[in-house]
Amino acid sequence: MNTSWRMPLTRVSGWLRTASADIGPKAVDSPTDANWLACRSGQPVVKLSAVEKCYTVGPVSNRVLSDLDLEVRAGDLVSIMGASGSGKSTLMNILGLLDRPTSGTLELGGRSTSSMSDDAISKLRNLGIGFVFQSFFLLPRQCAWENVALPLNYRGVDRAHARERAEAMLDKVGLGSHAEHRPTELSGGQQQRVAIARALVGEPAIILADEPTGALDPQTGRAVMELFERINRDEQVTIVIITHDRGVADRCRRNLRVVDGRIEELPLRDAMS
Amino acid sequence: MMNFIAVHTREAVAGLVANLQRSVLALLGIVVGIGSVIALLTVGNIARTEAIKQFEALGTDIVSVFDVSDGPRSEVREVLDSDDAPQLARLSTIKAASPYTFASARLALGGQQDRSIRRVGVTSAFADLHIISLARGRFISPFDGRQPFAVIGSEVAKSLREAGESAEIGARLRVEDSIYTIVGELAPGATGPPGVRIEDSLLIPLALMQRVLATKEVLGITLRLEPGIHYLTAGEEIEAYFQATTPKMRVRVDSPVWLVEQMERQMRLFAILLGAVAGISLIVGGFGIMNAMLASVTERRQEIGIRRALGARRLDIQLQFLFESSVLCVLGGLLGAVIGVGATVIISVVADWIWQFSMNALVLGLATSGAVGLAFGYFPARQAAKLDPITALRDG
Repeated sequence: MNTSWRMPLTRVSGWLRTASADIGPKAVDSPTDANWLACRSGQPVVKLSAVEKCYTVGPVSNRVLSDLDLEVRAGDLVSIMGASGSGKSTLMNILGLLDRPTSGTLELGGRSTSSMSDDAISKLRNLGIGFVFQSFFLLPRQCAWENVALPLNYRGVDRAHARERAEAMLDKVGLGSHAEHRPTELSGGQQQRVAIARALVGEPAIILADEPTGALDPQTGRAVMELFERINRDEQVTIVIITHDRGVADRCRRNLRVVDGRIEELPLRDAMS
Repeated sequence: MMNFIAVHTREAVAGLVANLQRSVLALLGIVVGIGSVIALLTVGNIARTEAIKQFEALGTDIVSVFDVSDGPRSEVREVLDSDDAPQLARLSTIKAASPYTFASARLALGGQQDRSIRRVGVTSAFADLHIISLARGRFISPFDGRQPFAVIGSEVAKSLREAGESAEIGARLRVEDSIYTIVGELAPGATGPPGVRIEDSLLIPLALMQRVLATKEVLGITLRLEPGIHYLTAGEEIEAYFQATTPKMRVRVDSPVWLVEQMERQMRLFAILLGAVAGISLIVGGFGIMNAMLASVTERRQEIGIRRALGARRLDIQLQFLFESSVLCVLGGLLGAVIGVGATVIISVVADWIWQFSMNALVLGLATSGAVGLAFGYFPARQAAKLDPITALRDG
């Protein structure tokens, strides 16, 4: 069992300082090795400042995000809503370090990512961000625990240790008995829970979930949301959920909306206890 | 690092197994390529050894002297004649000399068609200087003079028996206008001077043959060197002798050693050509690998996107696909090696050669297959690594 799981602080790690220099497949997974920084609840984990994103196709330039500011604080459970084409997927890609803003800055744990190399960004994604996708995106050839262990592969964690941690994480999402199952042998809700376990296994600074309930029936969707809430409440994991489902947004502690490429803060409909 | 290799190898194998049919088809090209590289190089090697063995059987202490003068043979012109043989045998580098001459002739076979054979005039030294053993009877002796005695080659004996004629010692046979008495029969496998199929010949005393041909000229003299004498040293002395006695005649001195050297040079060229042909088939196999890997990359765009999102660097993706193509090629190389070596064993058995294992060919074959895997896997792996994760996730 991983003891760091119970730590009351959301951590952003000290590798941010060295991420651009160190690209080797070395084991940098252990908190003691990596000189983790503790990020107290309420401190910003992710900070976007004056972010602009333009897509240029031929002579036409399309501005998707303009002058967008956003701060996600440690321990937050944030929903981001928005109409189709409002730029919320682009925002998700930028938050997830899959895309870079045309201008403006993205800080993760207080470090600017603007000048980082592609390798350093990849490493940062591996260590700092956990993804949950609408259509799960599990590797079909690999069984549940192998899928969960995938992020650890890219940190050089040895197979036995990775398996141990993956199975512990599957336990946590209630799938401990399904570790050897392949994605095709699991229901949609189970697959999404495997994906959540995969997002959690690397103890990221933030989990980004893109329409995590979009492919699930309402009941299964609610169960997945309960899992997110529990993780957020019990483990203080920072979670950002992109959704167009008001019901999902209502379960979050902070609601945002992307309108015309900017962020609007929405009032909470009913206060979370 | 070991963990890194283990993870990549395991994933590569899993990736290949997931698409077994395509992997096997891609593999075939490499199997054939490597198999043919190893088979052709090994067979080339064995063939060379066999050829050299045959030449060396002639004796490395043997040289042959031929008259290679240009122009018409007039009576005025100097020729190589049988009197040169005892003179040559007296040279310091030469131990023995065997002059010979030959001409085509027709052997009468009762009612049947005549058979074309060679009538070869030899001295008793001929048997010592060539690879000749008797099945029965005796060889031509110094005391035969010009008597019509003949030693028959094994093929000639066979023809006689098939035609119902006697090929026994003491039997008579007719060649052209002459009648000969058989005094001996050669065992199969006899090898004479270059250009003389001794198994298909009738050996008669040289003096008798010279009278038949009405000339003292001989077509060649086979010489045995004194022990430890290099053929080039002997060649110089032989040429000096002819320079002194018959300066207008041009002689050529051949040695099996020289022929072996020539042959080795030719065989090396041959091996290079074979290797090149096999190499081309390997390149074709390589394109098969590249094609399969490109299909695999296209098919697994989503997987690439997922891996990138989970923190795989471009290099990780590139290595993953490079590992796949390398595993494919090394597997193909091993299979090809087994098939290639197997093929050489079969060829050796069929051709009655002594099979020998060519380590060079094996190492070359396997190293090339690894190199092909890397070279032809590089481009698809590069394509995979260059994929934008967002596009890969969306399009997958």
